[in-house]
Amino acid sequence: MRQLLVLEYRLPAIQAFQRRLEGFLSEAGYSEDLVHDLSLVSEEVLVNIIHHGEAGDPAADRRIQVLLGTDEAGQVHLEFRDDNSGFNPLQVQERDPGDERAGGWGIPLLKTLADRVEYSRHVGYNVLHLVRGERSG
Amino acid sequence: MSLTIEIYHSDDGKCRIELGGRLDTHTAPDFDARMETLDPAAHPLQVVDLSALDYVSSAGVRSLFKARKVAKQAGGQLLLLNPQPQVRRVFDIIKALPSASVFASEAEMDRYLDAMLKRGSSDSE
Repeated sequence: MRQLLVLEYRLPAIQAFQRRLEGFLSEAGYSEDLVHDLSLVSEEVLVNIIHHGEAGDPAADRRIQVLLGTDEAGQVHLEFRDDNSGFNPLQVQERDPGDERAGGWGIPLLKTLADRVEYSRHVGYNVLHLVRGERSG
Repeated sequence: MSLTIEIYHSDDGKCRIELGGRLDTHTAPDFDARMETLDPAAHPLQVVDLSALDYVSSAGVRSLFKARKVAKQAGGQLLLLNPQPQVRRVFDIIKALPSASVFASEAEMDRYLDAMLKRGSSDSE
């Protein structure tokens, strides 16, 4: 199972994406926890990409690509691809609790709620690949 | 995929804010705007009831954090009541809201407020 979704660099696009992702994973029989966690992680990743993108070229025809798939073990893979300048969210310094500046608060969610997350820079694209399977308990 | 906000005032200085749905990047600005209409001097105790909130993201946690800061700066308190497991988990991961301000039930919160009155202090962290 594999699906490619395409989003505009606009915050309202996130909601529509989450609705599709949640519908898709629920229909595939994944647990409420997994659906919730991947939807949440997606919001955090996409907000970062869109905010980071605002600093660059605002061209309206730019898009974010998200590849959604599952493997034989039933793990869900999400790959976010954007053409912003090089930006590895995993290297963003985590904020101390109490530091309310934007950014940083989503990173612990990403690291905790994904089983695996990897960043790479690939021919002009930032590629963030994350994997999440069902968790017991 | 939206947020509902119901605000109830009582004469004893308590204000109850009931949230339902999702507090996220999309809806956090609505919450911020509604909280700005509250006068923390008239309502030093703000209780945010999270029983019907299904989803919170880091943007939502930041809004709750900001509201709590505004209440504290005015000498008041903002307490969070009955977060659902998925919301509680996000609080636990982000760690921006002290667990002492989060209560699993009304009874637990009342005990905390009683103890606070006995200590005669509004600073309760």
